[in-house]
Amino acid sequence: MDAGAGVEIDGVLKAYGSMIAVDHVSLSLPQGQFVALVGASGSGKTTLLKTVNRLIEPDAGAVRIGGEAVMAADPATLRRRIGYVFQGVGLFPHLTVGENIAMVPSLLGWPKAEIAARIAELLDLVDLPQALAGRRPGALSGGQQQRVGVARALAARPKLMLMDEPFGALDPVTRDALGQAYRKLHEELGLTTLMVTHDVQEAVLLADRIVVMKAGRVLADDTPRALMRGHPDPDVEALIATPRRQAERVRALMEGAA
Amino acid sequence: MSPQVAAAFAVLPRYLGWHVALSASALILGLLIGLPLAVAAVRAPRLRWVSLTLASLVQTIPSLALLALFYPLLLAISTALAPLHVKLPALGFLPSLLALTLYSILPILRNTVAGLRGLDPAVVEAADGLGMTWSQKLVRVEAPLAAPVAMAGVRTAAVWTIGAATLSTPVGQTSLGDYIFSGLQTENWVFVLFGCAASAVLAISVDQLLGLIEVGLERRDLRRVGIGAIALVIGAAAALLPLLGGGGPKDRYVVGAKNFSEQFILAELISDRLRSAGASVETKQGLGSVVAFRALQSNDVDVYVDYSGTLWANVLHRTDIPPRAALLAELTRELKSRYGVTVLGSLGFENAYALAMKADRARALGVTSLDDLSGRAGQLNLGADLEFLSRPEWAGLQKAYGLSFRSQRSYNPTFMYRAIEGGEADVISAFSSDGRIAADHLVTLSDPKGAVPAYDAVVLISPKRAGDRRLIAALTPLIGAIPVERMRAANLTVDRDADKKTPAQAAQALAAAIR
Ligand SMILES: Nc1ncnc2c1ncn2[C@@H]1O[C@H](COP(=O)(O)OP(=O)(O)OP(=O)(O)O)[C@@H](O)[C@H]1O
Ligand SMILES: [Mg+2]
Repeated sequence: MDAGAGVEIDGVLKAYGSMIAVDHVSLSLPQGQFVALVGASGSGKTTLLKTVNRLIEPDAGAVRIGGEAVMAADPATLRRRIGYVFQGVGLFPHLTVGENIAMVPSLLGWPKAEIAARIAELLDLVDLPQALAGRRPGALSGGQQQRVGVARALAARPKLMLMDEPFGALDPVTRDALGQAYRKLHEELGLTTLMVTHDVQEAVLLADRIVVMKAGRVLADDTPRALMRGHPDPDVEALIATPRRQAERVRALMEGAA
Repeated sequence: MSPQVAAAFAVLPRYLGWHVALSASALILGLLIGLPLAVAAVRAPRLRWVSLTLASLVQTIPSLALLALFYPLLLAISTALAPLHVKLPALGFLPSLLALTLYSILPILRNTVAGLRGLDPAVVEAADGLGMTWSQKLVRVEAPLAAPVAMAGVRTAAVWTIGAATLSTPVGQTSLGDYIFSGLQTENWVFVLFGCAASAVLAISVDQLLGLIEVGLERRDLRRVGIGAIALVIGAAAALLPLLGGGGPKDRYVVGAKNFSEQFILAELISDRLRSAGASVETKQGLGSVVAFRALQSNDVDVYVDYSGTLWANVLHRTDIPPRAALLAELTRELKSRYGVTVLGSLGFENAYALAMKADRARALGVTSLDDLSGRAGQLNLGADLEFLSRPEWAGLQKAYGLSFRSQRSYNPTFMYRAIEGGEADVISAFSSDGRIAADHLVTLSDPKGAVPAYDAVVLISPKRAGDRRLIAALTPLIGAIPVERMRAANLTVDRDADKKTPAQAAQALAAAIR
């Protein structure tokens, strides 16, 4: 299985009792694409994301990575090849920041020196001081913890990244900077990225494509540019309206000032 | 230092060694069972319910009873396995170990389950999401995070186990409980206190060291964990060292004793003689009356002293009462043919169950025999030892003399004498060789109808040792050598309040007197 290849989500259904969390969703992510998944709270974004690395097994449908069904793969091997940033961050409180970042490389049996170099490299990448490597996550701010979460997901150089609200706890400036930095990395490393976000503006600015979910279904699936032009579905329209209005206002302000 | 404290210190290495060996093995076994069970139980709600319920149930059984219950259980298992030539010792280390292990499981299980279930779900999901296998998740994430909570359970288990291990004395396992049980029987309060203090100090030390490890685990401070662990290992090794000396268990004689002073003294006397003959000796003290014979019969004990009438009624279940010599002769034959047990011979005195009263009280009421008592029993209170009221001898006495007391109560022998002294009891079930009869100004009532059999003190030898020349040569000189006055005098030195002797000292004095 080549995790660097695209992802094929094919008629995935996941229900909790009578609650249908993901309702026959089909999505196709070509390799190298950056896809943002947006939608109201409870619309099924996290659930869908987890079916890709088998943290959740669908009741119907299939997910394929590079043409191979994930249900046929060994879950541990599969997950080590996919970067995952958790919505709840989920750092290991008993390990240092460095040990947290190094978890997947150490599971894969990388040599010690290589792991140490990788920790330093990743701390730079997510813009954290090297001195933090020896600290425990409890001694970090929420934003710093999220950055460690991103670094941990990237550590073993996965080709596919699944990110669930990766920048949620960051201030707007850092959020934007880290978003841009990640987007650059996505290009350079040729990653395939599926990122859940609440922030439509962030989605518009970072992603190649935006998928809007509501009540477990895909309402819209298009490029940011196309969506910004308008959408027949009132929910999608409402979602996109805000960043559009903001953008227009900013442009007006800029032009007025010029 | 008082001679009693010195005597207590003299046996400390052996008592402490066994106590540590027992509680450490039980705790380790409890961990080996409790930890995997907890890991399995966290994932299986039904197993969790069943195992926690069972472990709690065990906890509701009084620890002494739990220890006692393993004796018949192991005996039954041993009997069932007899065709396979597998023999489990029903007394001593094994039943104590099993009972204490069961006892230690609950706190370990409950805390470990609580620790594992209390983990942050986001952290556990992250472990899965990063691609840890089941065992990697357990070792790298779940175990270290749950360890402090689990460790608190281990501490509780350790303190309980060390405390409850003192109760292994009655099932024949030497422990710090030997101080407490023998001290209680001989009113040697120095011994009782010494035993309690020693077990408390041991429990507190272990608890503190485990506490150090717990804090270390909590703060991920390997230095603390290391210091705690090393101190525990060194401490245990030092305590166990004295047990390594002496002969192996193969050529070691086990001398049994029931739970009263005379038995302690005679066990010491026998042990001394065996040691003089160059043998290594271990004593199992404080055995219940029936337990002692069963232990001998199954070779868990090699030699002990019992009483002909007791064996006649309780082991042979006979209700007829032949004359003294005939009883002894038939008993000797029957024990040999039925159980392979050798009656080496009588020590020369009788220790009969006899009803006793205060001399002045008896005189005032004009009572000298059980016949005289039958008319007056309705106004009198009977104080009996713990066994007497359920023994066939009591049924025999009741039938022969129609005795019906106003009230009857059971006491530990020591407190029975206190009861007659304080007037709570008017009549007690005394032993005819008890030094306290004369010392407390009591008289024994005669048995004109011969309702109670003779109680010659006889030396019994286990089937395994029946042909043991050294043993027989060492003990034969004791046969017929102890007149009842000597035994009474020896008993009194142990039982009296002032100038109290330990059973070992009394045995030395007795040996010197009969030489
Ligand atoms: N383990 C579960 N058991 C029952 N219901 C669940 C479970 N996990 C999720 N759900 C339900 O499924 C629906 C989708 O949940 P999901 O976590 O995918 O939403 P989301 O789009 O990620 O929301 P948010 O933006 O708040 O993170 C919700 O209604 C949620 O309550
Ligand atoms: Mg979510």
